[in-house]
Amino acid sequence: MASIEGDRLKLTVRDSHDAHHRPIDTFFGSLAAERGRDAYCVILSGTGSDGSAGLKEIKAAGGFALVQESKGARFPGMPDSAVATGLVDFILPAGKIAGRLDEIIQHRWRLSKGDDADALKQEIEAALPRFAERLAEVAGNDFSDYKPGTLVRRIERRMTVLRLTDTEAFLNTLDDETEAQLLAQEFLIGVTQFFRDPEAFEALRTLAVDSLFASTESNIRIWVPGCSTGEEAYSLAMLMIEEMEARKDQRVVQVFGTDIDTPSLVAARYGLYSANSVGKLSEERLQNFFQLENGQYRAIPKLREMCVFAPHNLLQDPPFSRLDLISCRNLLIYLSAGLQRQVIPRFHFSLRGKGHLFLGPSESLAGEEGLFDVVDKTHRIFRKNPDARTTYSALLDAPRRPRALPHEKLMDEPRAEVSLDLSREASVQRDFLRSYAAPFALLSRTGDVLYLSEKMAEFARPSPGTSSTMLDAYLAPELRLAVRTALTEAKQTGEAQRIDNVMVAGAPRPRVFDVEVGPSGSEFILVLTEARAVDAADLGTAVEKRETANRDILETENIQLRKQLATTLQEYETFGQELKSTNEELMSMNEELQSSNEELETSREELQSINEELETVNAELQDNNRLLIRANSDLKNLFESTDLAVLFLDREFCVRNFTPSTATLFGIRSRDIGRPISDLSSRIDYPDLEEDAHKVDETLQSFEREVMVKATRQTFLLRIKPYRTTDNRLDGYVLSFIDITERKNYEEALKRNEETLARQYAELENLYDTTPVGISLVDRDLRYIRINESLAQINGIPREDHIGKTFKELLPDLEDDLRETYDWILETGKPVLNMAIEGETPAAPGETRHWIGDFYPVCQGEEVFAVGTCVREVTDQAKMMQRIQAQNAQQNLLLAELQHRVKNTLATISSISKMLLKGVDDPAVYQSRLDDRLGSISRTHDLLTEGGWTTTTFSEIVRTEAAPYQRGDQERVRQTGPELNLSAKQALAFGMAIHELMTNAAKYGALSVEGGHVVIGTSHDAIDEKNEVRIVWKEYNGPKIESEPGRKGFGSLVLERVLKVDLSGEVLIDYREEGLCFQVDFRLDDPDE
Amino acid sequence: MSECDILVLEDEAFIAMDIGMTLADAGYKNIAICHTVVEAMEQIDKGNPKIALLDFNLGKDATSVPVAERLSQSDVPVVFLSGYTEFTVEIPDGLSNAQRLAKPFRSAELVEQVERVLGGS
Repeated sequence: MASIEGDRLKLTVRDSHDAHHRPIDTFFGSLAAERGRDAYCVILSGTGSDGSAGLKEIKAAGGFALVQESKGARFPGMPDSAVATGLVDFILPAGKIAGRLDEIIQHRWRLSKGDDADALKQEIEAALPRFAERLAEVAGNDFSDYKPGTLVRRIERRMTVLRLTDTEAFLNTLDDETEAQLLAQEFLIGVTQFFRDPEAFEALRTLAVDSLFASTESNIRIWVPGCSTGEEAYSLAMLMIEEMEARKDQRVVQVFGTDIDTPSLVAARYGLYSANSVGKLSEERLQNFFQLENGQYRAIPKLREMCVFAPHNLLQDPPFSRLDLISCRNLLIYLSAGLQRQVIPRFHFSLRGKGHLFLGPSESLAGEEGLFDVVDKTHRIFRKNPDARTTYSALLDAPRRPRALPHEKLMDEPRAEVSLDLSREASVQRDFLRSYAAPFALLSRTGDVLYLSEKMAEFARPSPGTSSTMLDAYLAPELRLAVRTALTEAKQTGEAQRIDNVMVAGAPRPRVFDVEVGPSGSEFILVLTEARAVDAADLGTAVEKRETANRDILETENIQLRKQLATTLQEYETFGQELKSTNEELMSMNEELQSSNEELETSREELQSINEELETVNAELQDNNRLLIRANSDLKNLFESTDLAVLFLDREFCVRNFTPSTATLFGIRSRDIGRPISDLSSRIDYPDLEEDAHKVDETLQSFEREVMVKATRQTFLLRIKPYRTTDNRLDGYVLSFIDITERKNYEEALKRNEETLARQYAELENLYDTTPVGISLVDRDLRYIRINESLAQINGIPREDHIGKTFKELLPDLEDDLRETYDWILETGKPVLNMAIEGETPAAPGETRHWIGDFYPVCQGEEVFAVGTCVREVTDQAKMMQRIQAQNAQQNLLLAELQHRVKNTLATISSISKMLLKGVDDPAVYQSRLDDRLGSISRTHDLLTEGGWTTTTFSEIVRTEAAPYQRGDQERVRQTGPELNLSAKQALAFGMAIHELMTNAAKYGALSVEGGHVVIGTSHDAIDEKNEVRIVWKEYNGPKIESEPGRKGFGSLVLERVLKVDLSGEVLIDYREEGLCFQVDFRLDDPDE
Repeated sequence: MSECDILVLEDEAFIAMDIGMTLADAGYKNIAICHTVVEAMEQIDKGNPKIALLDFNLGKDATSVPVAERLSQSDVPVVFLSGYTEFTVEIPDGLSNAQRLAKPFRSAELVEQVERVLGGS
């Protein structure tokens, strides 16, 4: 057997025990493994199916497959088997294969040369969406989210096959459905094998299968999406059968294998696998589950019955449901992350209870980890999390696009005209053939007479016996040998063969014909041409010749017949084989029917499951509907009952909904739903809506601002929030308007009040600090809580040193007086006002000061927690009061003195007036005398007033009294001796005495005559303490005094008695002849007294 | 000077003379006129008068209170002569029985006062 390793072909001895000798598959397998995309395989004529499995491997590796047309092949078994895989790139006559192979290789070589390959790849990748679109239209499969790498590679390969280098051109060829199908097929090539990753299957057996059987379900359902040719499904089925046998479990196990690649499904359903495919299976399994068929292995009916294969698109069709296990291995790797994220929820939906999910080694849950619990991380076995909400719903699936209609239908009309022309031509030909043509017939390869022309009919002479159209039993016996010979030769050479001069016995005469047999398609045409030129004369010769020839011919024919017999025997053998294969074909048709049946069954099940699904969905829908109705009704009530203006806008700022209160802000009615908000009249001035909304878009946070209705001066708090759909998608904005006018007003009022308060507080604080009244607050322990500057100054202690200190610590002198007061206030809660306080503070040590204090309780509820104090300094006032009191006393004393003097003066005047009355009869005289005395007293008073009523001088008194008697320069009254200071009483006494002396002198004495004068002398003996003085009045040059006057008048009374009493002195009156001499001695009052 | 019936203590000479003359004119005899407390005391030493007319203020801060006190001990009726009203000068408590005669007084008033005390003898 041959295989390839590197560049060397390797020959190995065939294992004689190997019953299934498949050298081609083996070689192709090694070729695929060795060369990958550079592998090319060509399958030529041959029996059996060897090569098909190898071809698959080569195709899976990206290689190329060419197959000989079975028409030209001697043994079409292998080519047909290869073509049946559906993976063949070219089916060609054998002669053209080499040329095509060369072209492909050249083309690929050109492609891969230089940068063209990369550029092409990029070009293809860019054009992928268009490919996907095209394929979706034509082939009905959506590849748009498949991973680009694989797709690009396969498109590239396909282009190589078609020898195209231009992506556009290739896209155009896809308009052809066949070509599109081929490309789709290309995309769907699956590589799969039995028990791929045996460890993973082992893990599945230990970790998941137990729980499958532990479930109480009557049947176990397994789904293998993307099953390709079914290996995975059969592997699972085998696993399940083994387990069931081990457990003696009789439950029904169903394995659903689905794929979108229908040819693969057909293969899967048939369950025939090459020896290579099953090579990895253990001998035991091979024995138990497969039976040999045509050198291949076919799954036993039990296994096939367990598996149901059906076309199904995992991404587009509703998924199966109520499954216990989903095995989806190495499918997700072809899908983009987005598609994977769609698929995983579908699996979650499909599984029931704690069903398992079995993925390929490099696949994951695509970010939907919440839906499944990890059972075995290494082998990718997961268990459904039944608590997780299934995010898949069949309802959310977009409806499947109807497949495009076949394009041929459009071709119908032009075809009609063509057929008209064709029919005319055909009828002419038919007429010609009937009337004028030589006799002819159509023969099959084997010699069967398929058709006779009209003229040929006369040469049909069927042999008696079983009726047959074989030429050996049907044509005229003369013709039989010749036709057979010509046919055989024609068959062998492929060209027309002619046998001349065959005579056919005829009614009037025998006729001679030339027999010609030529190929016509796969059949042969027999034409008899009559040799007219043969006349009767020649006929004998001809007959003779003919006979000789016939003899030769017969001999030849004999030999030929022997050969023919041998060939026939050989052919018989071939027919036998063909019969056998036909039988097999029939059997396979039967199987196909069976699988169709299965498919129908699957469809039925699928329908059933879809039905169930629909029911579930319906129930779900009804439930949802009910909830929706309820939610709608709630929402409606909410809308109608709320005072809040809420506006729902979509992303284009069109109104989606609103609450009735919104009408106060916008001119909005229900018919405005759907209109842009900017079209509606608005009472608020708010041009920034869009800008703000975009901010919300960016931040995803709600946004607040205040808006104002100018007309009514209402303020609204506008809050913009993103509108989120139930699946948390942003789809617009929610604007809520909250009337905060009142709040705003309150806020403003509050602010104003606050300002006023702050001002008043500042004022109070200022007052507190600057008022001359001392203010303080002490707590229950008589500790200072606060104190103002005035009181601090009164106390003579810095303000800050007060706080927290007790009264006793700071002012111990006042403690005794005030302690009682404080205690009383704290106890009774009553204030003490206008309390006089006297004492000393550190402000003026040693000085007693006075204050007036008001003490008032500061309460919190019932309890007095502090005592407030107002203290006014009244030291100055107290002192002033004392001064005023002293002044008052003094004034009273003065008033008393004044009263005393006035009254005494009045009493004195009263006494004088009485005394003056004595001896006076004439009131006028009395009047004059009284006036005279009062004038003298008054003058003395004047002098005393000038001297402040303390002293006056004796000389002043004399000068005042003497004034009326002084005459110009003549000094009639002269004073000598020292000046004397007299007290008030002495002054008054002297005033009157001097007046009396002057009056008397003017009337009777020295002053009564010209030249007379008076000398008043004083002497003062101030040496000793007696302070005695003497005053002497002496008159000169007056009339002579003859005797002492008899009657003593008022004057003498004054001079003798009053003076004596008032001065407590000695008075001497001497009436001398030369003039009166009056002398008085007395003691001066001490001026200090 | 011997024992007197009426003691007059008055420092002002004119007033003392006037009182003396007025009482003499009214018929009273044995009138002793004194000008100082000392004089008055000397007069009382000789024998208590029946009535005493005392000038309250005797000048130089002297008053007749000592004289009045002495006389009141002997139950001699005292009449204070004073320019002061009751509001300006307080008479000591012990002398509350004393009569008062405001200066300036009318002669009749003086006589009436003395008569009332002496019972018209």
